[in-house]
Amino acid sequence: MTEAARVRDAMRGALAVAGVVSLLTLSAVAQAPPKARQPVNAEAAALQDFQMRLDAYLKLRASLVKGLKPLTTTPSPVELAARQAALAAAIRRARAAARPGDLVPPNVAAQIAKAIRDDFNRRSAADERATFSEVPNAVRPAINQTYPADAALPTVPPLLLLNLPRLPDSLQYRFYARHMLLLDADAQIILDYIANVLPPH
Amino acid sequence: MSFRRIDVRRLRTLLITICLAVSVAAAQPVRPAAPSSTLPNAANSVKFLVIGDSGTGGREQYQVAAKIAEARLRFPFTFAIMLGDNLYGSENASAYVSKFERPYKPLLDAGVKFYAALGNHDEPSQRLYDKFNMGEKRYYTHGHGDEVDFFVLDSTYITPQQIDWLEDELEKSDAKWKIPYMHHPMYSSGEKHGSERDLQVLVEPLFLKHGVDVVFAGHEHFYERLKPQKGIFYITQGGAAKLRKGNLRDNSVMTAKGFDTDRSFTLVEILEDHMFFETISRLGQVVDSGLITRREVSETPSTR
Repeated sequence: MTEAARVRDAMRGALAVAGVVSLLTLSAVAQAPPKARQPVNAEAAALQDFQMRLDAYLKLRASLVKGLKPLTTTPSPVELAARQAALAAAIRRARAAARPGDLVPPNVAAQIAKAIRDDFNRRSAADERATFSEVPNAVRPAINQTYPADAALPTVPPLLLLNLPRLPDSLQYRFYARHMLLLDADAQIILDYIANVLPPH
Repeated sequence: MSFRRIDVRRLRTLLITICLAVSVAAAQPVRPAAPSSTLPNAANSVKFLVIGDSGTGGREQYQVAAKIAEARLRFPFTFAIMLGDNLYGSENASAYVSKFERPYKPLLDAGVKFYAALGNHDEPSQRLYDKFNMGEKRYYTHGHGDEVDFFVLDSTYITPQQIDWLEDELEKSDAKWKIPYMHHPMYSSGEKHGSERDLQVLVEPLFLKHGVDVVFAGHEHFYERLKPQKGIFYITQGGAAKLRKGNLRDNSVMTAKGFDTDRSFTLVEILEDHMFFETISRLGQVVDSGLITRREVSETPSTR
C-alpha cells in the first residue's frame, strides 16, 4: 500500500470513528435528561458546531446570491468582475457585525492550530521554506477585508489539508502572514481567521 | 543495366537507409535537441501549445506571444494548455484584456482554445471566464479525440475531494495518453521552490497506477525537462513571461535539459504512441526538442 493510500485510509478511518462518535453524541444528547447533556467527545462536538456555523453561512450566502446575477461562465471580464464585487458587497453588508471566531469557534481553532503545528514539525526546512515563500507578509487580517489582489494565494500543503476539517467548495483555508484565513473563494473576502498559528518565518 | 535503373536502385537503398535511421531514432525515447524543427507536423496528429506563468502583461509576455503566433503559421496547433499564474496582480476587467486577450489575440482570432489551470496568483473565479474553458471547475478534464485526455489539477488547493475526483477520472479514461497538468511541479531543480513533496505522496501514486507518461507544470520561472522519475516524464514550463534567471541548480541530477536564461514556450505533437515536443525561446531559438514514447510500447523504459 502506498503512503498516500495509507494516509487516506487513516483519514477515512478517523472520519468513520468521528462519525460514529458524533452519532453516539447526538444519540446521547437526544435521549439523556437535560442534566447529562454534555458531549461525550469534545472534539466531535466542536466540529459539529463548526459544521453548523458553516451551514448557516452557506444558507446566508445562497440567499444573497439569489438577488444577484449568477456566478456562471461569462465571456466578459467586466461582467465577471462586477458579479464578484456584487457578491463581496452583499456578504459584507450581511455580515457587517461579524467578529473573529464567529465561524471558527475557539475549540476548532485550537484543533486547526494543533494540526498546523504537527504538520510543520514533520516538514523539512526546505519544505517549510518552499511553503512560506508564497505567503504574503501582511498585517493582521480583518473580517470582511478583501484579500489583497496583488498578493499570491499561498498553497496550503495538501497533506495538511487532509488533516483540517473539510470545507464546502466555496470556502478555502489560506495562509496570510502567520495567520490562517477562512476565505470565500469567489468573493475573495476574509470570513474569519485564526491569528498567529503559523510558525515564525 | 541502364544508369536510370542504377539510380532507382540507389534511390531505393537510400530510402530504406533513411527509414531505418528514422526507426532507430524513434526507438530512442528522447532524441537530443535538433537545430531546426523536429515536429512531424502530421495532418492527423494532436497539436498543442504549452505556456506557464504567462499573465504579466509585460513586454516579454507580448514578445513570447508574437513568437508563438509566428510558430503557429508553420505548426497549426488547435489548443493551448496554461499551467497557471494566468493573471498576475490585479484581476480587474482590464487585466483579462492586457494579460491575456491582447497578447494572444492572433491565436484567439484563429480559434485556438485555451485550457487554464489555476496557479497561486490566480483567483478561483477565473474558472468562470469562458476563454479559459474550465467549465466553472477548479479542476476538470478535457479530451482530444480518442487518444489524449488531460487532467487539470488545482495544485494550489488539493483537497481530499480533488484526490478522489482525480482517481475516478483516471480510472474512467481509456485514452492512450493521460496527461495531467497543474501549476506546482512535483519534481523540480529550482532553487526558489523545488519539488512538491506532498504531491509526490498524494498524487504521484495515482499517476503511476493509471499509466501516466507525461506531466506538465509551471510555477518555476524557467524551462526544465526532468529525467524520468519512476518512469514518468515531468516538464516544467513556467517561463512564458516571468523569468527567474539562473535559478536551475547546476548540479541537479534530475535535469535532462534546462533553460533559465530567457522566456520560452513549448509546442507538442502527439502522433499515436509518440509525443514530439519542441521548446522555443523568446528569441526564436529551439532550446530543447525530443520524442517521448509511451511506456506501454517503449522497449527500453528503464534507460530513459
